[in-house]
Amino acid sequence: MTEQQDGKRALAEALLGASCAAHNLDLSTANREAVINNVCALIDASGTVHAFPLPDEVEPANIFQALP
Amino acid sequence: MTIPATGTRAAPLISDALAKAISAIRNHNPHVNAFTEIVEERAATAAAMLDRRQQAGEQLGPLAGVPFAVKNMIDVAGVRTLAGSKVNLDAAPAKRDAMLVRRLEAAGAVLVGTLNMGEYAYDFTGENHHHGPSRNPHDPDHMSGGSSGGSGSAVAAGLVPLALGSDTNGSIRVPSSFCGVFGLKPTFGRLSRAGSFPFVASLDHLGPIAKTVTLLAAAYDAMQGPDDEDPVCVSRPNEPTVHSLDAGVRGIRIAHAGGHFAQNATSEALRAVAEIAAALSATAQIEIPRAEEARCAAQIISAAEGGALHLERLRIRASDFDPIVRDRLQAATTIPAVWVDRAQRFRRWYQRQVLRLFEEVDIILTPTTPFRAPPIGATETILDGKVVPVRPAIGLFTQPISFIGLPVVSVPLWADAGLPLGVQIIAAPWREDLALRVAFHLEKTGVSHIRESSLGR
Repeated sequence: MTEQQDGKRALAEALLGASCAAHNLDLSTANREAVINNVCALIDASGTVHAFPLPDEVEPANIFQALP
Repeated sequence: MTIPATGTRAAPLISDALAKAISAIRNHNPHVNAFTEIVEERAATAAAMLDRRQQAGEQLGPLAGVPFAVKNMIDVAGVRTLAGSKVNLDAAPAKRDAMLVRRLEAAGAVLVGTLNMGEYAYDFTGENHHHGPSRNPHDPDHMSGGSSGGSGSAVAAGLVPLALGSDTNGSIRVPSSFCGVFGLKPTFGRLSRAGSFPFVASLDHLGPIAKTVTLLAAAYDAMQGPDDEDPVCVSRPNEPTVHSLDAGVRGIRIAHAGGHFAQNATSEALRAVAEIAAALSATAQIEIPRAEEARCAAQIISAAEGGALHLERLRIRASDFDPIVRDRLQAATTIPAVWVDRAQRFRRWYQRQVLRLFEEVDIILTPTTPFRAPPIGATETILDGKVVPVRPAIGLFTQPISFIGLPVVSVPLWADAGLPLGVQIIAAPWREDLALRVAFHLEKTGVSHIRESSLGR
């Protein structure tokens, strides 16, 4: 496992731990490894979105505003 | 325009035709597992009413006698809205029909049942851990596609000519591609979602799957209209499409998408787009910018909203979920707010960039799915020489389009004796008429069509 993969896994573990604590989630029935892999995929997806240099003035999409 | 159903209009009585249709569903559904419930008594009552009105000389609606079924996340009075889950088995039956069911019935269509789906619509495969997979009528060992798998399967098997599905990231278009039928994901906000079980409120759409483009358009026309019960449903006037279907494609500027949409696909999927483009004499190519980022942002928003929606069920009923769906939803509860905000900001930026493309073209062609329907249970596939997980790869080309609410018709192609593949015909917002016109032209010229399976009938 590379250093980057190690870091991603550690982040996934930390996020999952925080979520379980914050939301009172019990992972005893879950496939913990599968959940961690899914968190890692979300970390990758977020990384791809964040890597794009978005101008500060762009506001979030508003779903209640009809498309032009 | 009156839409001929599968023989029902030729029958002396709508009631007789509906009874035969329901009998066929009972006989053949076990091959495909598309239906979760058949509402025989309701259908018989509705058909008898249509017969009485017809005999009294009344003009019936444009969908008179057309049998239809709905994905089981769309409310039907007296039926449990399972949304593909075990958890919802404990819910009370719906008290009234969803708005789109009411509108189709007002046009004369006859509801015959509810359809199988992936659990809580978080699915691209059509597999269901609790109720069994809906099967591909053209090869029952292969996926129907999800999450509206029962909808695609039922139409492809000839059990109903029309079905309703939902599409958050591709769930109408993927089954349309895998099962070889026509599907329409309308512009975001065009069709009411009131009375449907949500998945991702900021991305959910409802729409039709049908055996012909004419039926697809007629159903779409019948379902348009404002609805205060869905806060994103627009008050824009109805824009009927059936009357212009046969206007041809001359003057419509059509291009196929390169970049993201010309990579990560099998040669068959790319050939399908090339075949459609050739049939339309469309030689131009355009690039949809940052489609991969769009797909990732759609993934973040979907997970965040889906995880939040199901949080309470995850707390108290985790063991009653499909394990694959549960593991994904539990992961989704970890997403920090800043990721979601960034994804929603990117969504606005991306939407502006893509809408600019429609100053140059009217229609964009892409593959619907990167490959044909994989075998049920497949977890990996090979794309561009790399082994990749099947489930997320199925949505490679649908997610970046629904992410910004564009209308899309998926049309089926049969390149050989194998399974079909869909091609997305993408239009600017509110231009369903153009996408449907192009689809109708392809159907009329024999380029795109459904192929009746022998399995379901």
